[in-house]
Amino acid sequence: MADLTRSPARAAEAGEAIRPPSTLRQFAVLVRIGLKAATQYRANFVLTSVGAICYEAVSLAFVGVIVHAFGSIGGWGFVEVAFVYGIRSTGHALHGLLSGQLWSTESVVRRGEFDRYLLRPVDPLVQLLTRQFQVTAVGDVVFGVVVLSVTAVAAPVDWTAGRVAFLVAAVVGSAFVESAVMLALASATFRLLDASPLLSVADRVFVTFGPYPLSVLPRAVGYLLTFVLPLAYAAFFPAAILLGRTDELFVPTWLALASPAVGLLLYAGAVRLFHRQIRHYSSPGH
Amino acid sequence: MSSLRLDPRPAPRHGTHSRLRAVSSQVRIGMLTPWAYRTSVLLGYPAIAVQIALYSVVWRAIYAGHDGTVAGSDVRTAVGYAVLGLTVSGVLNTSPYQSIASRVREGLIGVDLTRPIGLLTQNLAFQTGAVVASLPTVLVGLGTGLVVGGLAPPTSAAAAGWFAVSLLFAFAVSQLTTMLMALTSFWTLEVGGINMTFFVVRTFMSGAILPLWFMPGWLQAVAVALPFQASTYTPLAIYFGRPPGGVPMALGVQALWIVVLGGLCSWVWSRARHRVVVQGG
Repeated sequence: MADLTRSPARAAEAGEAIRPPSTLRQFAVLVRIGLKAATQYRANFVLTSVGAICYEAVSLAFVGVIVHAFGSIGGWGFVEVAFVYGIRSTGHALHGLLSGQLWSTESVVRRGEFDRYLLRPVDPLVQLLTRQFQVTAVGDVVFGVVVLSVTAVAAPVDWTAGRVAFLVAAVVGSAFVESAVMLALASATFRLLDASPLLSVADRVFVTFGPYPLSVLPRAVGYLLTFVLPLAYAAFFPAAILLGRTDELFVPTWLALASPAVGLLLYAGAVRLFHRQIRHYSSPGH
Repeated sequence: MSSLRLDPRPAPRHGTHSRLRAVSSQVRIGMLTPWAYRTSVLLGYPAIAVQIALYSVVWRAIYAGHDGTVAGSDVRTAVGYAVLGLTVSGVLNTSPYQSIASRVREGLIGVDLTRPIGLLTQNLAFQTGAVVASLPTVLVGLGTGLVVGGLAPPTSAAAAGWFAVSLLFAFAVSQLTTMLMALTSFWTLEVGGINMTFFVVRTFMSGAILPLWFMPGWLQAVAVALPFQASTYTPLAIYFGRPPGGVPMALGVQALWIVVLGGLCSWVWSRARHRVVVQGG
């Protein structure tokens, strides 16, 4: 807290114009405060992290059961499918750290908490995202990194520095792809009052299709998950490239290679959209 | 924040008639509450439809490389299972609208305790209303099933009849497990993490999405030892003509869970009411 107030105060003393800290710095400070608040309840912190790990473990078990019963999915064995899953779940974990609070957009708007966001000198989106620290993401990150490391080692990939760098970029890109979709949908809250079913649908699609090699799906569905709900960039494209299965890509290879950049672009677009939709906010009056 | 300890007092006596009215009014409130947020309910329907369509695509893709049956189930059954499973669990496995947990946290539980009917009865009545309110989901689910060509008729008339009976039992099991979970909030107040684990384990182990017959033996054994399968898997398995251990056994296990869970709920509640802390004033 002190960090936020001290520097402008000092600047004022020195007679300079008061410049607020950068958005990124505001974000970092607010996340730190949130983390402090969350770790006050240590038992809940641990239990929630464990809950998150269970959530992920169950969805991995889901895929595991199917591969167990069917042997392979469209020629992809367990290790390869699990590698797709590893990229997806690590990306999803980072997405949770950044965007987990989007799920509470509905109650923030409905209860008029958003009034306060508009009164404070910090970007309302930053305030929404840092509203509370997303404790579940801690468990998710641990789980995701473990699964990704294990499957990356087991996967038939000849690892080089370049490939590792691409993997890291792909995971970050994956987080931004998912966050972009969720942010765009959450911004509908300002018109609909409740967009959580939209978030649920998108989340369902990500969870349901996420771990599968999308090349086994009908082509129309593949394109839908590439150009409408851009799930393909979140795991399948990078995984297919790293596994050398570029012949199964249903888009030009350069587009699949650009997955990390696609994530960033989409997120930038979603942030713009959110700020435009804020104009439709009407306070419930508190 | 002040906190007030309520001494457990016997509820005032009322005639059967007024009790019935009190209960039915709770059912009515349970029906109306979700509809207060109409958009939310209405948007929930496409959510179910999309999910059903997704699973039909995924199952067909997974089965594409396999002719015939896997674990005794062909692609038609797998898709049909997804249609029915998502529909049934969408109706029965409601997450509590006004859960005991959130009412304890916000102090509203104090109001509940002053009502003339017991907390468990209130809660069950309210949830029954919520389930009735979510019945249109059946039309959406089955309608989508027809559209994606995934709605297989029951294997026999008897299977259809027992399916209906089993659904009623499943409703009871589902509500009692949720209530038992909610009652723990008297001890833990902050239940986010436990709740999440609960919902996830319930979805997986109840067979709402993945039929238990695909699971390896040891995992099936775990699922059978838990009450969740009795809340979704059992009626579905009966519908598709493969009730675990035969129909009488399947229904018997459900009935047993109702007795066990009902007993557990009233026992936990009898302990919990001595610990009630009403937050705020």
